Amino acid sequence: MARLLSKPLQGSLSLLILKTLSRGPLHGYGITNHLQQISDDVLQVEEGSLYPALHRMEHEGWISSEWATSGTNRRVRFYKLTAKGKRQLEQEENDWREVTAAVTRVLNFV
Amino acid sequence: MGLLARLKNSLGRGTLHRDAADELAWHMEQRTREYLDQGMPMDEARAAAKRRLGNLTSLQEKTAESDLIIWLDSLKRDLALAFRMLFRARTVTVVAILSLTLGIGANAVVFTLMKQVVLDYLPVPEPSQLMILHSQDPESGHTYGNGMQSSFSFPLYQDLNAATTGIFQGILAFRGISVSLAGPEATETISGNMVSGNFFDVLKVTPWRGRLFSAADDQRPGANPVAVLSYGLWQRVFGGDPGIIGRSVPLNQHPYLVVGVTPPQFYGIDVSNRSDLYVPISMKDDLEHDKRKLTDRLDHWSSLMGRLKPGVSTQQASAALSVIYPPLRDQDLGFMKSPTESFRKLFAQKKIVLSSGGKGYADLRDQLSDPLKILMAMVGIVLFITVVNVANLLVARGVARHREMAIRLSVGAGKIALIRQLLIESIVLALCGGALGVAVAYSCTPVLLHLLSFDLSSASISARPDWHVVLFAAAVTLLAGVGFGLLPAWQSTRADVSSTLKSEGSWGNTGHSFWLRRGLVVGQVALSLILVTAAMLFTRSLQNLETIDVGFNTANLLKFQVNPLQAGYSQQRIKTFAETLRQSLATTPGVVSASIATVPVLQDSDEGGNITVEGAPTPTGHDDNSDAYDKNLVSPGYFSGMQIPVRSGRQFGEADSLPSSKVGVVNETLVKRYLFGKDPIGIHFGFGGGQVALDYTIVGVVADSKHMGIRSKITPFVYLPYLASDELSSLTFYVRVRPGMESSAMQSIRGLVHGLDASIPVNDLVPLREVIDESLFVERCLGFLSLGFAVLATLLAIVGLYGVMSYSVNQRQRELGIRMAIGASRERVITMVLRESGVLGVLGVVCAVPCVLGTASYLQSALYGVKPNDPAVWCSAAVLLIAVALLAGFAPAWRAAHIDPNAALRDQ
Repeated sequence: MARLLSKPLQGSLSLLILKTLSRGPLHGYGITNHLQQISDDVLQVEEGSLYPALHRMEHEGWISSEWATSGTNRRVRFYKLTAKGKRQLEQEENDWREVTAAVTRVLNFV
Repeated sequence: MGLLARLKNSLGRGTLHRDAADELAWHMEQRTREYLDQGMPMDEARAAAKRRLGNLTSLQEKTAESDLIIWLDSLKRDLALAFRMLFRARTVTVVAILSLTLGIGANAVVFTLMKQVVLDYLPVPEPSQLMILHSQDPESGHTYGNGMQSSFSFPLYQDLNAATTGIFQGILAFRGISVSLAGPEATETISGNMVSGNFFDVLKVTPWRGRLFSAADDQRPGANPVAVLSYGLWQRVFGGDPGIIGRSVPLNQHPYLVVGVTPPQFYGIDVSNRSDLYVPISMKDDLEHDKRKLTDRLDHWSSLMGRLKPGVSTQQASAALSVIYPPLRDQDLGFMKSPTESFRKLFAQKKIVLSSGGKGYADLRDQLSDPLKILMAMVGIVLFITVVNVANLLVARGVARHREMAIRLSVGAGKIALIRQLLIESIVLALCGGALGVAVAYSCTPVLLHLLSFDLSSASISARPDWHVVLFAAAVTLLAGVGFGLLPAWQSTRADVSSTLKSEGSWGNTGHSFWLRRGLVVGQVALSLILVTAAMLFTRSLQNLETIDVGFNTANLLKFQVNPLQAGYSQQRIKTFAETLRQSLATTPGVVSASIATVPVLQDSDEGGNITVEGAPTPTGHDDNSDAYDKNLVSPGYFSGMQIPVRSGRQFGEADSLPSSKVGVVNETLVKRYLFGKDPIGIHFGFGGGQVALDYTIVGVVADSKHMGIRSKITPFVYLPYLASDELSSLTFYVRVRPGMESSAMQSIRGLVHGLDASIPVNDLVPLREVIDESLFVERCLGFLSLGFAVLATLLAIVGLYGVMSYSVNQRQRELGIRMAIGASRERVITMVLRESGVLGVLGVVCAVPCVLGTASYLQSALYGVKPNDPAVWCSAAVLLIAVALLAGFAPAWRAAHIDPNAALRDQ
């Protein structure tokens, strides 16, 4: 079972998804667009890994999904953050800040 | 997602796929629209969207995965990979599957027999409640054995049944009987049971057709001429005609009303002796005209089995019987003629002992259970060797796959996943072997039993493995698969990735697994030695039995039985019939001689009691058996016909046919035991103990001969003229024919009997040699099967040794090349390799010694005329295996000796 992403990147992908969903329920397409917009096109999520990640996170119980019908009569799947997902987000955000702060300190030291 | 949801996913994979597809399709649609909005043309927009999302199908796949699906999918992948790998290594696979087939097949064959003979319960409800009642010695009066079962008098049975209603739901009584049945086509002899009225109630057997017996059927002697047929007899003789119920059939020429049929699976209560007919036990005197009478308290002939009440334990029942039985027992004392004081004392200690009856009676079980256990152990060892062999093959292949494993480990495959992969491969191997093994067992068991001349028709044993056997084989298979898979799997994944990959060409880390392989081979040799020794012991034992001197000439001797009494003959008419038949047989072309005995020889029958010989000290007390004798009633010309040498005196003639002519011929053992060198001719003797009349006279002495069976000891024996008897029923004829005339003589015999009286069936017309062969069934089974297993084991050991030696020679090519380059001769190289192979053989032999010393004593009971620790057998087995080891090493040694030193040195 080869992984689509190496571990650290995948970790940050879930952080980004969780953060995006903390604003409210959204579908997969919306998540990619949101990330791209906010990061000024720097973070272009590899769409191939987005859906497996969403499903894995649902499996972990961080997010839940619901089907709705779009204006064009398509079935659309919306994801939303669960309570467990909120705790996970907090944890991951802290981890991320710690790590980046540490990395920044290292980079600034010379 | 919970487990349920996951399961639902795995089952409803379609829904899941559709969900994923819908989700991705919508995503595509949105992205395409976005590109369109940016001004791209439709097809370009779609292509761009697609590029960005990646391979849609694989994405669907990946997206739809949940844990269980991942697991199932990878199992499927592993299986496919396993088949591919096994197919790639075809030779290894074929050898492995073949040896597994043989190993598992052998196990299934033996287990098929083991299950039916030793393990199966009677096909009745709650068999564990059934208890067999045993009475202990001493007994007074006449005891008529029922195989190995205890015999009770019928009045005692009635008393017991009435007095034990507190502990038993009921006690049943039965005795085997053979009756002639005049069917629609021919008269034949049927073996059946005389049973108490409650027989079927106690067993809880329900009728297939009509009704079975009830307590009303055995109330008055001779009042209920009714019969129940077995399903098999009903089908075979009456074609399954339902109209047979309520019709009358002639049994021993008396009309009996058929009232019912038993269910197909019910074979009676003796697995080794199927019952085809049931009549009420109260009809005994009507069907059997012998001395044992239904109502005589001193005639002991029926076997008893009780069904415990629910909640009553065996201990409670035994305790209750120890109170109930003594007063019933002591009634018998009143019927005895002047019992001695010592007898009374012993008699007062008599008890009834219970044993579990859930598996029914089975003399066959007692006879076969030890040999079957031995065989089961042997096939277990064979399977173990097979497993070791396959493990060895796989370890060898594991070495070859070392690089593959190292590569897979280095690209991130988990060790567990690799081990799983290898285990799946070995389980696939095992399953193939297991399936083939069951197929082999299915087709071979009947052939095997036939080859071993075992007569299945009289025993209710099926030669076909049933689903229990398949389950057993499946369990064995899985165990084997994991057993031989685990070691190589663990071995392969211990690969040190970097060193293996670095060492191009040569295999890193192989020394360790090579020692493992050597160890396995030594184990194989050791186990083979055990089997070879056992096979040698059993073959020797079989040889001893087959060449045993029974005391008369068994060559070209036919035997058959007739029972004119069943056709309603008087004693005088029986004698006329028998003598007419004997004399016309003697003058039939191709016949050398014809003689008659009342007790068939070598067929586990005997008749006897106590004897008092004039001038010999009479032993006292019944704990001393030395005054026992066996007897047979024979026709004139019996000794010359059987070719039993007459040592002194004369044999019987026509003149000895009067009841008043009380003459006997005795064997040498009797003379030795009682007469201490006195001239036996003219000595008087009498039957019975105590103050009996010595009214018989010895007129001749004949050489000893075996009577009950070829294994039995020679007992003091008395022959009496059958023409002087008035208790004749079944007669056994012995007809010696000229070589090659057997089949024509058999035809003449049938024709002659039919011509004399068509209502008298000829029973068991076979060469006596066949009877002897059949009595050696167990020994032949052990002999042939153990030989087969030993050969198989040795072949497997050769394969193992050969593999190890070839590998070793390959490994040492460089070294051997150097040795030869600096002048070692070919002989020297061959010796070196052979020595290594021989050392493995010797190590195996040494390892086997303690196992062997531990197991030898278990074999004692199954051996005849050879000790389990016979040094000659041991040494030859050891020498044989060491020779085999050298043989297995020879081809690799030869190859080693022909290595081209230059090539070998350049190569590495």
